[in-house]
Amino acid sequence: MSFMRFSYWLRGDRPELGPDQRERLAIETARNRIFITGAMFIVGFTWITYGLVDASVLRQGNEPAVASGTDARELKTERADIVDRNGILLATDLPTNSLYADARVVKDPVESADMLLTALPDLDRDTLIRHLSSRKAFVWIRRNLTPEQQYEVNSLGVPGLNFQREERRVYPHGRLFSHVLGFTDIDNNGIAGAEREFDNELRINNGPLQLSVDTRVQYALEEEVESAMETYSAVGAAGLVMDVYTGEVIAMTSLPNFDPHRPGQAPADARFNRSTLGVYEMGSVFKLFNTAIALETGSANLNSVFDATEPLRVARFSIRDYHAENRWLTVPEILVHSSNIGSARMAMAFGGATQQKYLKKLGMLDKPEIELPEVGGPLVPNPWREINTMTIAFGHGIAVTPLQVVNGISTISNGGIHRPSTILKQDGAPAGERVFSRETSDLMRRLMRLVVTEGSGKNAEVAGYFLGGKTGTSEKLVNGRYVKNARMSTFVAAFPMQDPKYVVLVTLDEPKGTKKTYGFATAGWVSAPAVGKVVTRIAPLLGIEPANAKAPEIEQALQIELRKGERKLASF
Amino acid sequence: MTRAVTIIGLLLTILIGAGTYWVSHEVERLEKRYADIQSDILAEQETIHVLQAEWSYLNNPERIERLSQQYLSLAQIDILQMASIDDLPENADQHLYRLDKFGEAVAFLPLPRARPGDLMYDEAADAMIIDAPSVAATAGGTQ
Repeated sequence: MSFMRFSYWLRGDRPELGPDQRERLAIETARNRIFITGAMFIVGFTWITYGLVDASVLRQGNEPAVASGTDARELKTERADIVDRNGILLATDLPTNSLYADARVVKDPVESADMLLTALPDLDRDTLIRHLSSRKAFVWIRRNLTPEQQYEVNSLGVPGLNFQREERRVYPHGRLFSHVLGFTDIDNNGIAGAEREFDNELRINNGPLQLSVDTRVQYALEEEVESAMETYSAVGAAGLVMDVYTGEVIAMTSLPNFDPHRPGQAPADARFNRSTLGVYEMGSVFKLFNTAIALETGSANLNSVFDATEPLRVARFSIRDYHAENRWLTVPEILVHSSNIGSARMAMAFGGATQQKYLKKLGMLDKPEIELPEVGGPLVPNPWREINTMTIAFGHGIAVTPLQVVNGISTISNGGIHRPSTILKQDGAPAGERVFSRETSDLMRRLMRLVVTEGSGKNAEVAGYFLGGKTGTSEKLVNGRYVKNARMSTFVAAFPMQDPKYVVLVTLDEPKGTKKTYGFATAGWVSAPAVGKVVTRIAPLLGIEPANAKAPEIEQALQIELRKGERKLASF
Repeated sequence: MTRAVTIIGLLLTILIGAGTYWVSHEVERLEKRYADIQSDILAEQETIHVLQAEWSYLNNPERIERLSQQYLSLAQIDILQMASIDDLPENADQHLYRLDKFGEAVAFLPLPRARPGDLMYDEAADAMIIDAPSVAATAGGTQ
């Protein structure tokens, strides 16, 4: 019974009322229902209409004025470009087409091969026939065709030959940066130089990789080093230019070099980076480090005198001077006359432990810090005996890379702060570690200038740019023995010396003297003039103004007294 | 009344239908055009990329040097040919003219300095030191 009542109520029917009333009630109920349904529809449609108007006519606040396609593609090469410090392209990917064969489709391998040989005559016929009859779905025939070759092959119409679009690494400057950039293999994997070191970054390709090198400086350096190498018939050469304040390598060359497009055809010697991988005894260049250590530790000052009257005998060794003065020498004189005996005595004054500590701080005892895979660890004596301390004072018995020497000279001349070398463009000077005091650096600047005005570096002098540096000639070690007449001649210089900005190094491997140098092949004759020429060419490019030698502030900055050393009783 | 509403409804339906069709067609057309432009952009980018490589190749310092030797009679600037603006006398304006003996202004012709090539290096270095002539000395005078 109760169910029936509920059912009536649900229908709006009321059986207790009379038929008339029930009818009216039913109509009224129906009307109400239609009204409610209609109202619901109106609400729904209004809502939809609002949505429609909102989406199509009204403008949202954050809506961009111009439609941007989500599928906006941008050309992305397999590897990022490499650019120099001024944005000049050094390495890029260019699209090429490579020829491959689907050997299953090739009808007549011999005939196809012969046809193909008309377009690509340098292919090997037998290999080609073997490839074409291999029934493999994919065989490379030739990678990276030139557009003409592609056209010719295409017009042959040999079935089964297809082109694969590829990217090939191209170095617009060819050999110029071969040792800095390195090269890639045929599948575009970096396998040497910066290409290898930054392989991952280049693959991710977030814009070009900017190096610290400057194309113009690199060219000037390479050309001058190459001409020196030819003039003196050297077997190899290395050149470096570094910014003393940031440790940026502005130019780096190692000769002979190679064509990065065809590294496989170059002999191993040409692919050897003499600037960062080759370790050499640097000879007298180390006297600068030695003197800086002596001045820094206070074991000597500019007026200290050292006994260079006769060769120094230690155990079975005897240390001699190349330009023997046979008298007592002051510290500036030891550098000017490049006295081995004096330097050795200077080193004895501060001792082996101090020497090791400072050389360690200068980075001479570890692998050079640079973003290249080709780095050579130095050859350091072990154990470090007294005789080693003495020979290292003048650069023998320790072999380091030219890069480390340049970095060390930067440290000496920039005010005494060691910063790691880098081939990436820096934004200002990175944090460094103080090795020498400002005062020591200031004295060293004067001493380095003195070597060029009075000493062995005279041939490097360039009016207006105030070079200061040091020569270094050492006999080459071959199989543990010194070879006479096979030398490494190095000249390293900073300029302008009143406010050093750049360090330049030129090393020649086995130079031979010429008539012009009176047969000498020492650094002062062969490397120093090359450094001078490099500086003449690069200083204007690097924005260094030639200064007037008579300017009082320059005279004051570089003034140093070259006093003759005498044995004085007071010094004992 | 009902008929009018029906006709209006029918017309609206046709209108909206046609409109929707047109819009949809237009969108399709634009999308195709958009895709075309996209691939054009990509092709242009690739061309630019190749041209950039060529530009860098053409800017090879070795080539520039060769061309410069071939077409320009210019040599490397000697250090002594460079001077800074600070080397010029401060009151340079007053040297632009002088009054001649008739009281008329004529162009001031300073005596040429010795050219760097004419002198030895140390002489030339001396010549680089410029003592600015004082106004008093030049104001009334003949050169």
